[in-house]
Amino acid sequence: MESKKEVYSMKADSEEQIIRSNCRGCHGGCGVLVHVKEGRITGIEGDPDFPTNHGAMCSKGLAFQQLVYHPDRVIYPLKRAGKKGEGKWQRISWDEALDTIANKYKRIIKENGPESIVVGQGTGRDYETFLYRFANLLRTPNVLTAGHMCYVSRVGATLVTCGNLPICDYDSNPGCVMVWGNNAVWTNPDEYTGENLSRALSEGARLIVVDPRLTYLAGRADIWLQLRPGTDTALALGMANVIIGEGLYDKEFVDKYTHGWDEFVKRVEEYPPDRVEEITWVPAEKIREAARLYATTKPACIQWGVAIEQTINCTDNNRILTDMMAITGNLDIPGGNVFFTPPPIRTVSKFGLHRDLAPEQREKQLGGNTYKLAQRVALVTPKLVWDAILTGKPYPVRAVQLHGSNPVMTRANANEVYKALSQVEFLVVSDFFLTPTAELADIVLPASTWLEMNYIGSFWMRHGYIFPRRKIVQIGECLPDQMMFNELGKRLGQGEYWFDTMEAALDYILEPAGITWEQIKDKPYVKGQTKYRKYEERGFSTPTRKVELYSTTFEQWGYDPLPRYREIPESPVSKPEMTGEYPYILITGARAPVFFHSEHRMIPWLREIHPDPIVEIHPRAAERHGIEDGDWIFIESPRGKIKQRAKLTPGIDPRVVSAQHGWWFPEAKTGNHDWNKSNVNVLTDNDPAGYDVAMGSTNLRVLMCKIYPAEEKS
Amino acid sequence: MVKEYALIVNTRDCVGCNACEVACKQEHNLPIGPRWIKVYPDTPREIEGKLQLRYIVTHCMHCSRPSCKDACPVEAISKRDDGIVLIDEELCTGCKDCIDACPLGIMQFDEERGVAQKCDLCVARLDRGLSPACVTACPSHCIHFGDVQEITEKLGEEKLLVWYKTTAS
Repeated sequence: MESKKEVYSMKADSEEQIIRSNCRGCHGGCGVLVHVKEGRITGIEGDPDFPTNHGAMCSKGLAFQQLVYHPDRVIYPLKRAGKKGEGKWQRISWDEALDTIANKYKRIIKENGPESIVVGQGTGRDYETFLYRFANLLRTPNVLTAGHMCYVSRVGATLVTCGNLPICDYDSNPGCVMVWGNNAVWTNPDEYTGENLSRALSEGARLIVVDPRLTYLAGRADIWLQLRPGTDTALALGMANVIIGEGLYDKEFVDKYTHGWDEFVKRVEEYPPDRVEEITWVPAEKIREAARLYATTKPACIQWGVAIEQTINCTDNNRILTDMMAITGNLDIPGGNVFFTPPPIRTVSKFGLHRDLAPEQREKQLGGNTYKLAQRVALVTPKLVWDAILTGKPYPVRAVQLHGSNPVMTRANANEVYKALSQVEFLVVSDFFLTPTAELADIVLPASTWLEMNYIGSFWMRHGYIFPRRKIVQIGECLPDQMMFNELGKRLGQGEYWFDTMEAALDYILEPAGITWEQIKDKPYVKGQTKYRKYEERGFSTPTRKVELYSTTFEQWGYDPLPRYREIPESPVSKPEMTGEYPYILITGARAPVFFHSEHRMIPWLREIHPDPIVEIHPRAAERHGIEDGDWIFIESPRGKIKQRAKLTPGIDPRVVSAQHGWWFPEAKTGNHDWNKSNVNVLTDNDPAGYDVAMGSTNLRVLMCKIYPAEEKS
Repeated sequence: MVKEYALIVNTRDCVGCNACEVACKQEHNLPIGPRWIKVYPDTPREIEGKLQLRYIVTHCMHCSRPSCKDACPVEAISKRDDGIVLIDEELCTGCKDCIDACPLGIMQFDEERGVAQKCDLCVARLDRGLSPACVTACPSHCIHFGDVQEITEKLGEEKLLVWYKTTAS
C-alpha cells in the first residue's frame, strides 16, 4: 500500500486550525482542507496534494458551510404533528424516535414479515454498506436505491460482462477520451472529478463526446455526436460495426480473452452506419470517424454517465460500451479503462452481509424474478414499491425508511410517488432538510453531514483509494446515518452485529488490511496496489473467465445474451400518432453545476447563481410558439404539466427540448414547497413497458412533450 | 523591477462550473448581491469551424490606469505598486460613481453595507504566499494569476489583458 505520511500543515493564522478531510457533498470524494476557528467551520478548500482533485473544488463543496449552519436544517428528531405535507412538527428525543420505529417494525415483522418494510437511500452519502447490513439483518430483501438507474446498473452490467466496473485511468495519459452521456466537468463522474478530465485534455487527449445537447465538452470535442435522445445503444453498435468491419480491433485480445466473438460479430453486423444514421440522426460518416478515432488512438478510455442508464437500453448500453473497451484492447491497460485494486479492507459486500439474507427471503424481493440483474445487485425498482403500498400486492408494504432520498422529486411519475408516500402507513426520512419527501414522513431523523463524522470515504469506489473523513463539528443532535442503522439494529435484536462507536466499526472494516482508524485518520488517503493486465494471470471474473461479449449469465437468465437496441416506448418512431399533440422529444437530465440532483436550492451562494429552473429550446422551435428567452413556459406530457424558464440556444436540435430535473422551492411556504410546479418527474412515465428488461431501470430521460407560454404577453 | 500582478481567465478552457464564484464568496464572506467574479454562458457560436459553448467571466482587471480610481470623489480607490487596485471601505461613501466609470461594468455594490466592492486579488492570501481563492479552486485550471509579463508569455498576447494593463483609462 502506498500512503502519504505528512499531515498537511498549512496554517492560515495562529488561531485557525486546518483539518484535512474528504468531501461528500455529491457522489464524489474530493480531498479538502477544512478551516476551523473557535470550533466553527470558517472555510473549505481543495487539498492540493490530493490525487483525485489536486486542490480543485466544485461550487457545492465550497459552499458547504452554508449547508452545515443553515437555519432550516433539521437538527433534532421530529414527529409529525399535523397532516402529511402540512409542515407541522414536534421535537422528540432520539430514544422516542428510535423506539417508535423499532416497535413499529417489530409489529410489522410479526404481522406481515420483514419484506413489508422497505429500506432505501438516494445517491447515498457513503452509508450504503451500513444500510445493507441493517436491511439484511432485518431480513428484508426490499432495498430501494437509485441504483436501478444510476451507477449500480453499471456495476451490474460490467459484473456479468467482465467481472467488475472498469474506470478511466486519467493519471496515465489517455490519448483519447470518449465521454458518453456525461457532463463530467460539472458533475461528479463517480470515481473522479472533472479536474482529471480537464487535465487529460490539457495534456492533449483527443475528445469524442456523445450528447444530444451542446455542453462545453461537446463544443470542445474533436468529434461531437449529437444523437437523437435515447438511441445511444444503436450508435455504439454502429461504432462497433465500423471497428470490426474495418479491422480496427485488437485481434490478439479478442482471440485470447473474449467469449462469443462470432455471435457478437453477427449481431453487430445488423447495425451498419447507414442504418444507424436513420435511427440516431448522426451522419454515417461521423459515426465512422468517431469509431476510427476511438479504436486507433492508444490508449483510449470511455467516460460514461448516468444518462444512458436511465432508459430502456440501460444494461445493453453499458454492455456494448464495455465490449468496445475490450475489443479495442483498452481494458486494464495504462490510460484505458482499468480495474483498480483497493486496499485489502473488508469489502462492501462482506460488510453489507449480503450472504446472510436467507434465500427464502431473497425470493420475496419485489420484482426479483422479473429483473434478475437487479436481484443480483440487491435492489428493487421503485414502482413495485409504490404498487405494493397502493394495492397491497403481491404483499403490503407498510413501512418505508428513506435516507438522503427525495423520490417525490427524483423518481418517475412523481404524482404516483406522492400518492404512495402519502398513503404508506409509516414513513421515516433521514435528511438535512424538510424536503417534499420528508414533509410526508411520520418521523424525520436529523442526519450528519460529512463534516460531522469520522468515516472511511469512498470505500466502495473503483479507483483503488480509501479516504479518511474527519469529524470536525457537531450540529444539534444530528447523527451519522451509519449510527442510525447501528442504534436501530441494536433495538431490533441485531446487537451482536453492531458496534459501540463509529470508530469501532471503522476498525472492523479496516481490520483485514492490518490497519486501524487511529493510524490512517490523519492521512489524505490509502491506496491499493496498482497493477495492469491482471487478466493475463487470472482471466476475468466471469463464468468463462473471459470478457463475455455473449453473456452466459444472461443466457441462463433467459435474456438476450447479446446487446441490442430497443426503441424508447414513447418516441416519434414508436408512437408517431402522438407527434401531432406532443411534437417534441423531451430530455430531462440536464444539470446545473451548482446543484446535486434535488439538493442545494436553499444554499444562498448557489441559488444566487442559478435562481430558476431552465428549459433549453432551439430558437426556431421557440419562435413557432411565441416563446422568448427568459419566458416562463409550460412543458406538458400525457402525465401532466410543469413550468420552467426558457433558454433559447442553437445547441439543441429543433426537435428536442431539454428540461432540468430536481427543482423544488425550499422557500415556498405552501403546496409542500411547490413540489409539482417545476418537477420534471411530473412529466415522466413509470410504465414497466419502458424498463430495462434485466435491471428494471426506469426511463427517466426521454419522452414526448408540447411547449407553450405560461403567461399572456402584454 | 516591481511585479505588476494580474488575473486572467483563458476562456477556451473555462467549463462554466461557477466554482470560482463560490470560492470568492467564501474567501471574502460575501452576502447575496456582490459577485466579484462572475461566470455566465455566452451564446453558442462557431469557433474554429465548429459550434462551441464558451463562458464569459468578468472580474476586475486591475487596470494600469483605473478609471474607477479617477472617478472616486473621496479617493477611496488606490493602486498599489504591485498593480493591485483596492477600495478602502472605510472611506467609500457609496456614491456609485466608480460603478458608472468602470469600462467593464464589473464594479459591485454591497447593499447591506452601502459600499462599492470588487476583486482585491485576495491580497490577504497573497501575503500568506497563496494564490487567489478562485485560482486554487478552478477545476479546469483556466484562471491564471501572476506578473503580467509572465502571463502574457504563457498565454500569448492575451488581448484583453494587454489592453487593460496598458491603455485603459
